Amino acid sequence: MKTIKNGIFNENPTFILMLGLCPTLAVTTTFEGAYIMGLCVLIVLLITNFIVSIIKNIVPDNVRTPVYILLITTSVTALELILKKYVPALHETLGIYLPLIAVNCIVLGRALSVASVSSVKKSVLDAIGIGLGFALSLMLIGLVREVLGSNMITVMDGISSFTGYRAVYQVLPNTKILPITVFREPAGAFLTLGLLLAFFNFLKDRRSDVK
Amino acid sequence: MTKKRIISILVITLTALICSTIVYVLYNMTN
Repeated sequence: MKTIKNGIFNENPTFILMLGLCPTLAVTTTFEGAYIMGLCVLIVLLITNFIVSIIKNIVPDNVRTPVYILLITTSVTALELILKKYVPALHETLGIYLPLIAVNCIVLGRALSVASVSSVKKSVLDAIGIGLGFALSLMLIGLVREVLGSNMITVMDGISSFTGYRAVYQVLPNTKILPITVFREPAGAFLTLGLLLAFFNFLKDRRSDVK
Repeated sequence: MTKKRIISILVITLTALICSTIVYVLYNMTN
């Protein structure tokens, strides 16, 4: 439990480690895209951390990185092929950012720094913690961007053909303040990330001052 | 060539072979 909590709060990939920022900025225009991306990264992290921790004693140190990259790309390709076949709507929602998980530095970073030196149980727990931390931070950014940029919350739209029902809600029906369209643009992603980072650092500073 | 280098080459070749087989099988299953 401590490892999972550590991955979500103390070693949060987006707000503390600042890793994997490309998908963080690109797919968070909607809440739906954010949680689907988080889920896919969680699955890839789980598979790679599990396999890496099993084979860690067989792989020599000088070929560790290429072997782990091969494992990561295989799991991402497998995930992509399965999604394309069984959940095409999900595959379309993520687009190019799904194969790009292969070059997400969170996955290789955790494989090299944690899974290759830890037990299977610890590696799997670390993958769950980091994956959840990444998914939650993406969901937070996606929620802020969509509420401010579109005045909507899209829970299920692109994947509605798979789940069977559509869930898109309007936040404030009669308002002139929203939507602030800049939050839908790439600049809005940087703005949201910067503001949330400032907010979390402010909270961290205040907590250390109290202590 | 040292024994360590041969093992490294074997490990990476074997990994590439297994990974490509998995992708090939999955591709044929899903297409």
